Amino acid sequence: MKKLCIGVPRDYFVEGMQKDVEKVTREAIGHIKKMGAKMIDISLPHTEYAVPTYYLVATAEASSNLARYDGVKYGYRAKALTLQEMYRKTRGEGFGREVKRRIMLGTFVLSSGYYDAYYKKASQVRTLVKKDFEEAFRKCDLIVTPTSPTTAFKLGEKLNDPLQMYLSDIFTISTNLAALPGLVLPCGFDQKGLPVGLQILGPHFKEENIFHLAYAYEQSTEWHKRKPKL
Amino acid sequence: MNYEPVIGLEVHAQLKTQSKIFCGCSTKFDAKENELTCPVCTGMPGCLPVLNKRAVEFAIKMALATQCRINEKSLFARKHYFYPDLPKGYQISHYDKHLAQKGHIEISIGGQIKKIRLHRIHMEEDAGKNIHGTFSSYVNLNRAGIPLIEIVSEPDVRSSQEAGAYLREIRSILRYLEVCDGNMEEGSFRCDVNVSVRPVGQKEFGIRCEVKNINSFRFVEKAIEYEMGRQIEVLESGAKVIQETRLWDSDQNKTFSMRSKEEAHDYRYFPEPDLHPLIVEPHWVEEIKRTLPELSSEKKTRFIKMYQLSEYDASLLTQEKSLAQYFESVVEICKEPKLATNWILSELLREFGPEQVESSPITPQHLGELLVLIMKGTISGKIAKHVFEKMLQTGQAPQAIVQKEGLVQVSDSTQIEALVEEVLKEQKVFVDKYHAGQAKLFGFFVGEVMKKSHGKANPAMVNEFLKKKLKGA
Ligand SMILES: [Zn+2]
Repeated sequence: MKKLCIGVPRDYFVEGMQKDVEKVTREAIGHIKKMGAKMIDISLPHTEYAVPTYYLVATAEASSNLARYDGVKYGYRAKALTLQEMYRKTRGEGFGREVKRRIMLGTFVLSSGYYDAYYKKASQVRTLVKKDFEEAFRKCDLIVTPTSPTTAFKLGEKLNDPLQMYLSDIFTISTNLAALPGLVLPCGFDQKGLPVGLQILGPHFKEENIFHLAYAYEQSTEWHKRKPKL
Repeated sequence: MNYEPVIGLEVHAQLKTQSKIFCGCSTKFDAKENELTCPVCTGMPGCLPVLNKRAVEFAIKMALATQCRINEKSLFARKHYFYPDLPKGYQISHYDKHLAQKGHIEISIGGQIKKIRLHRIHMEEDAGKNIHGTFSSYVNLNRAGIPLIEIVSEPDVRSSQEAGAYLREIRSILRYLEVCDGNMEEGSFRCDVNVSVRPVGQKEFGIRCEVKNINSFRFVEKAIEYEMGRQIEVLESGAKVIQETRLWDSDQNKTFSMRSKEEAHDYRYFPEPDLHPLIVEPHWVEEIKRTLPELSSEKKTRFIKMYQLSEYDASLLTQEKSLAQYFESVVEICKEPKLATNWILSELLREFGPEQVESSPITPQHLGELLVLIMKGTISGKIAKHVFEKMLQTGQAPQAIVQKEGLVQVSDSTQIEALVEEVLKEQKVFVDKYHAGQAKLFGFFVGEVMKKSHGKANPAMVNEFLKKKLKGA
């Protein structure tokens, strides 16, 4: 524990963040410092681009990965008289709203004439996000961040405002883009009594250090034993 | 106005690997429907492709044999379209950053050598096959995931004959390298043709059409000629050629519009996230280079020099690697290249196609021995043809047949002299006519002597004795 140097990205405490979430997270960071780790301030400057980048790359891949659900080999197949009709109905009826939204967005960003402006650009930004982390891990062993800017919203609440909903992913999505290992564990509650999580990120093949810190934190706190009121 | 065609060719060649390109399934040709499939090549969710190293090696062989530059780093991409024979909804294929580019091959047209440049060679996976019944359609995925290379020429071809020669040369190289069996009927060698025409002397290319679905060399030539005629007619009428994809119909000897440029698919290519970039290290390329066999053009040059063959004979003998090997084995035994050439080209190739010679019942060892029997005078050329027939039927060694049938040539001068005398005595009337000036009767006497000897008399000796006796008589 004493040998660990832990980075806290200043770019992860954003405007519009739920106040008590920030407070709980800062307390958790203070606790880790008390446990003996060396804490340093770091920067991941491309964080603000992570969400738009992710939703271009991930929807593109999703539109491609889900192409195999065509009713030919397995899964749901709609009754139809022609092949075209079978494809249209099977996919129209078989996929849910959010999936269809992502397939359409992904298909669009890969289309000829739009590829360079969207998918290609997003891939380039993705490389920058990756480089941010490579740079950071030159200075520290692990990174500790908030998990989400807010605690959980109500079921179905943001379905009609997908952009707002996607923004909830802002702190967890860079990890996916950079293909890094990460772990989230309970670190407190907001005023409504909803749980707040702490995220620990590490470099490739350093899961060991992530587990080490998470275990030490859990052993010295009680948060994981408390449950929110339902 | 005079027009010339500008032709580019795309060849899809199935690589002869044991297993498919991204999974361990077998690539056998005659298996039960969907027998050769697994979760990867049937596009089950959650399965990941693993690239077959041997397939890459085969592709590199072809690239080296066609003087291509090999890219140290190339990228696989996904090409999307919906079709039941495409289980994942996309085909994994090189795109953008190809495996190899800027090569060339040489073709020979009427004794003239012409260089045809290759634009690129890339790798991709084959799709399955749809089978249409009366009330339903079925999909067979045995072929899905078989490795293919696509060989794309520059638009350097200027006639249907050149196109045919180009395709034959590409096929020959693939077969010599043993990376593709080049079977057009079974679909292991397929080709698409891009044709445009332009007035002779014009620099810019005309608008081109792509013709698909051509499954023989003859049809390629016919389809090109049909397209040239059609496009010239369109231009002469004052209209413009429409850029489109057309299908060849071999029953009607015509091409038909399949889809226009506007209807062309948007394949939505993007880098395959499930595969790393393909890194081909130079030392591996060097290693592969060392395993390249002598190709037909090199072999042909060597045969002309080493065995003093005509260019024509040499090109016939080297059209197939196995045929060339057969020839060299025969020569090794009989040491008589000209005789071996004659027997192989006129006798053996009458019975077998150049690709079947290898599996003929007459081994090169036996044919060599037969030629030795001729050269030693043990049997005559005529008897040899009879022995050849027997060898064909039974697969026996020539000596065994000669011995069993008592076919050894009679070269004993007393025996032959006696036969000659006998014939001349019997044919007194014709001998008189011969002396009266009918010189062509000589052949008749030869035939009679041969008949009496059951074909076994040494023809040279028969000639000699006949001349002597007829002069003396
Ligand atoms: Zn398979």
